[in-house]
Amino acid sequence: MVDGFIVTVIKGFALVNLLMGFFAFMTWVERRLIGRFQQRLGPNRVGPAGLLQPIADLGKLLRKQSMIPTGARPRLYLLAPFVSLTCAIGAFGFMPFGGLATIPGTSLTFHLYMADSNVALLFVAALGSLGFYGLLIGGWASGSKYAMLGGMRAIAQLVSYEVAFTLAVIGVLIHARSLSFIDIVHAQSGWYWYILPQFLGFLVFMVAAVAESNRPPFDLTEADGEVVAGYHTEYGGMRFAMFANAEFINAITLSALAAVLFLAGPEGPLLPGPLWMLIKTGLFLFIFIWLRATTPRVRFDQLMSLGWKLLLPVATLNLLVTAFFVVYGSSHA
Amino acid sequence: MAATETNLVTVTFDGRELQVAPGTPLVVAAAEVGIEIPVFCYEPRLGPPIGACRMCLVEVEIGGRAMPKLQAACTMTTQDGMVVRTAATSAPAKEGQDAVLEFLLLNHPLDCPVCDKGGECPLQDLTFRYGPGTSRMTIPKRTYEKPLPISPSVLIDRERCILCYRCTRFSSDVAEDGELVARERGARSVIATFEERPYVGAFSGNVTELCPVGALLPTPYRFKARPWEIVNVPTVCTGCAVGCNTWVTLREGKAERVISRNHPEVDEGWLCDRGRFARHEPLVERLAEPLIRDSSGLHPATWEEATRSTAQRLRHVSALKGAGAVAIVTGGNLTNEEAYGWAAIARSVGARTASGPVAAAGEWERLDPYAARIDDLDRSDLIVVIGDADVADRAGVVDLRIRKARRAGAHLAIVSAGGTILERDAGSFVAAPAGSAAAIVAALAGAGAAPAGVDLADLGARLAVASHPVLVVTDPIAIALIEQLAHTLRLHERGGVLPMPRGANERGARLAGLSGGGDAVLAGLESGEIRAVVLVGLDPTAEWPEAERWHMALAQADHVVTVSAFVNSAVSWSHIVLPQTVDHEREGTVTNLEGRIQRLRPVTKGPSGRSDLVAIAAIAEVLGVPVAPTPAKVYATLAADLTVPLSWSQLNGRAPLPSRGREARAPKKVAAPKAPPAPAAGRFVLVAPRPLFAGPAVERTAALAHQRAPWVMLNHADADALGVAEHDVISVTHAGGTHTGPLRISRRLVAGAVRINWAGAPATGDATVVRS
Amino acid sequence: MLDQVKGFSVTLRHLFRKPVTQEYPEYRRPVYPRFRGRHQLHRHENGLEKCVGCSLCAAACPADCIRVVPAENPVEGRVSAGERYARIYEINMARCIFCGYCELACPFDAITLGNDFELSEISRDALVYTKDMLLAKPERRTPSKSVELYDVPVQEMERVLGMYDVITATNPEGAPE
Repeated sequence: MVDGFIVTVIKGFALVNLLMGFFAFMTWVERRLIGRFQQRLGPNRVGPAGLLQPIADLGKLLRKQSMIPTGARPRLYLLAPFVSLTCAIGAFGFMPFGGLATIPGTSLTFHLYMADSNVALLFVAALGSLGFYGLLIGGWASGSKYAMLGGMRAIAQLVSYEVAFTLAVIGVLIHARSLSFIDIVHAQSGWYWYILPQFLGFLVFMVAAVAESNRPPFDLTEADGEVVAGYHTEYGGMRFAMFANAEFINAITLSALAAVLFLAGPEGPLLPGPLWMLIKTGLFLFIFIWLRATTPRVRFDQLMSLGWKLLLPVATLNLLVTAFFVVYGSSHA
Repeated sequence: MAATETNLVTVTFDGRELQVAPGTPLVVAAAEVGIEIPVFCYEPRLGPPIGACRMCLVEVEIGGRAMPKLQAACTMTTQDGMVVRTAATSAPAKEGQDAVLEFLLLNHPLDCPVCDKGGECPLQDLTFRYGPGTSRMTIPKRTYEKPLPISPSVLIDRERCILCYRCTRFSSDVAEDGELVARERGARSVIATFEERPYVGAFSGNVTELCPVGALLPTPYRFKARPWEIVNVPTVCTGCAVGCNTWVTLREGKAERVISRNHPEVDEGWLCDRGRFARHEPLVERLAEPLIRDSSGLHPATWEEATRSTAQRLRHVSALKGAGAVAIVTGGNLTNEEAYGWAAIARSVGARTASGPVAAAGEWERLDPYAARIDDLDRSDLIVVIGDADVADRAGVVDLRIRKARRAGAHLAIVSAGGTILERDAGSFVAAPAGSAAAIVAALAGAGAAPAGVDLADLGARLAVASHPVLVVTDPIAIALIEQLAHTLRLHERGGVLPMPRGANERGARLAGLSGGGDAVLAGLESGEIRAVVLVGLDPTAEWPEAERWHMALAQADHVVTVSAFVNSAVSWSHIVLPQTVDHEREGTVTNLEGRIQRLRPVTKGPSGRSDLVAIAAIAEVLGVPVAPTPAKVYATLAADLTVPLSWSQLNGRAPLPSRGREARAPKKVAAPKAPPAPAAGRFVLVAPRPLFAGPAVERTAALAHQRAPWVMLNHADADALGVAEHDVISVTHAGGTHTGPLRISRRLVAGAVRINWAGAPATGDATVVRS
Repeated sequence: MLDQVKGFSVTLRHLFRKPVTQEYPEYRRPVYPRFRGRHQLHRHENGLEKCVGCSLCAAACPADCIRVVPAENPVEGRVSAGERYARIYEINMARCIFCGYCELACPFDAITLGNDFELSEISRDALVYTKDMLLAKPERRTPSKSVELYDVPVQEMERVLGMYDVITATNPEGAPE
């Protein structure tokens, strides 16, 4: 622990709450943005400019009847949303928001990141994959065929895009020579952002990230016309809210990850680190929402073939080229 | 009257050939090939067609030569080689049809939205199907004051009348009352009564069904419902023993009107005004829950308590005093199933039963070998009506059937004290002293001498030679006497006797086991032998003779249970009161005077919401007797005893009457009845048969108030002797009360008798007559 | 492939356009004059009701939501202009499909459908409109477009239909059935 136990606990508490608050705010942003993309207003009735809409949604979800379907396995059914949500929030834990910060008016300092783990990248990828367990368990334990199908599809999607995702990330890894986020950020200092040398990898990463987070156009696992609501068909009220929560926080995590890996995270002139992180994450979230507003849903076989036949070869090619140039460059430098 | 199939003729309708008996109206023949020729005035029940409306115009060719003018298909009859073209294939016929409808609609007001006939109007239907689409009428239509009440139950709207003369033909040729006539002529013709007096007659309501437009409409149904808002429930009228088939029109849970369902063998599509208009309303006066008397009076109780208490009391009395200590008395208007239930109860407590006021006058099954059917009247050549009561008062539409037979050529012979409506058109009339019907019957049977001054020779001669005579006895005399006469006249081999039971289902009640007469029960009550009485649907102090004696006797009984629809005098001193359902609320079967079993269907729920059979089953259950609470099951038990069992579903529609065997055994000789005592000096013999318009339902129906108007009838000689003239108000005081009304003078009423339409408890004996 | 990218540019362009949302209830869009909304029972100029309780509207109604119970006009205080009047006239707005058949069926132009469609209630019983409610002047909350512009007068229709003869005369084959 880089700051001591108590401070880390406080930081963790703050981080989770801020993350949740940000998530709630992002639902409003998403709905308003999609509305504007479609040349209409989004929700603007509840609260000023509709800002209390997430509160209203929360209220609605809280009041829904909490039930367990007859054919479900109760313990696993109740466990699944927690698995998803825990993994989603946990994956965000290692994101760097800057370097050392001082509390104004005192001499206390703390780091703007939870820990500088030397396996942070690996950890994030692992937790992201672990989160899919929640979908699988939820889908299977619901005791409904649509949920089962949705869960199966989620796993297939994960497997297809996890490899390409990891290969794209390894490209960055080769450049940075470290799995630690702090090192990766520092390696990009001085405008040497990895988006330029790793542009192909960045594209692969973006596509894979959209697929990993079950966002449109890769949201077949919860497509209404296909599988009713996929793995969360039999979930209602707050349990459904947890699944939706987990999905969006996954998206936030991946946006933050993209910001860290390719846009140097909290680095940037003038503005403080957290603000840069916010802007860059926000940029990627905007791209996520833009994708949602524009593209139609990808058919599942198209999705699989995209993952295996296009992204994987491209990511492999990117890796090989990167490796070649890094070795060549270092042997010359 | 078998159709002669041997000489059929060939007629062509619109190119379709048909073999048909000669002399068939073209309208009927065309229907056989499926061609509808529209008609307004054609109605076979009203006698020969008159061709008044000209709606059925067709082009006819006989023997290759076309007839120059269009012919009315209702009056034109089939001949061999006739070629008929209707409006479907002939342009002149279509032009004629269009023109007739145009003319009919010229002066017809644009009343459809406000006319009750709208939606069930033949003029609307035929105009829509066959008429021209537009009118050329530009000048104002002729108007009359409308609607005019032609009677409190029928309204006439002269603007809508299309002068088809169905109503006037009914009045003159079917009911033969001569009330509705066509006045003025040409375009000014109107349907009217004499001097705008109300249409008083037992069958006035039938013109509302005959009228093809909304000119004659029933007042109680005015503005009540439209045909698409109603449901018609098929059931049977339970006003008298004829059992006319009806449709009851139901809207929003209320029975709004009654129209005929036309059973050709029973009522031929006619209804008497009592069956049509009388209703057991208002509902607020109906008993809705059972009442039990305790020390402080009658209090509401639950059905459970009431039925259990009834059963316990009956069982207690019969156990204590033995068999015959309980009496179950009914009015003869229960359904077969209810009667069966009460009979089962009676058997279990050894009770005496009664379904009519006098035992001897209730043994209808004796007449079974000689019983005639109502349509036997159509085939008869001699109809003999004996009795002071009018046939219409006892069995409404049978009167119309007798008149129809008479018009067809039968000889109608009437033996009565005079003053009935039927005798105006009788072939022969024999005046007999009032109340001497039993003596007449006995005399004709050869079991006694005819009353003084009565010459039965002519009648006897006619009876001897008639091939299909039908005997109708309208007064309540001992059935054994009628049986004797029927046997003497061999009426089981030719013609028959038409039974005239008093209640709607007296025959069925007796068959179910409720036999016996009220006179025996009365005697038992007075002697103290009977300690418990159940009065089902009957108030003997209001409806049966010897009202005073009943009153006193019932007061002495230990337990009185009344089953009644309204609060009447019997209710006021009963110990237990159970509400009863009436006419449209009942389900079950009734047996009419012919022995025909017909189904009643419930139209509405009574105020109590329960059927009577459920209560009877509950009482029977406490007594340990199995009685099913649904009519269908009880009927299944009953039907097993019939000679020709008909199943519940076979009674749907128009119930059939299976023919019975007619083997007759010689009956025991019955003693000749005593002649009624002559009245004291200055007093008159009272002739007061129960009129048609009597009873709790009629009293509560405002539309029938004019039919109940009292009147007094005297012989012209007696009137002169008293110094009174027609329309003077006369008071008649008799044992049952005083009756006051305007005087009618009759030439046929025997001297020394006064006839009144007294609707109270039956009264006989003598009376004083004074001008009031 | 390029089309995919063009799609994104379309969406982005739309981001900067003004939204076309019409915000109800601050802005109420005017309806066309013949818009079928809440029913209205009419009276003659002298105050007598036009409805005579003939029940043709109830017969025409495909949803069976009109209940008419007629009665004789009282001698004192005549209600309608005909022989009878509607003593009870109820329309169940929850069942009504606002098709306008009752308006078409009425022979006296007694019932017409106005423009008001804001009829929410919080209980089903309140949605059964009685005769008084239907006779009363409605709160005209729904604006409607101008009649002159959108409701073509009868003369104009006749003029247009009159041209039909010219069309069929000059081009018999081309004229539609």
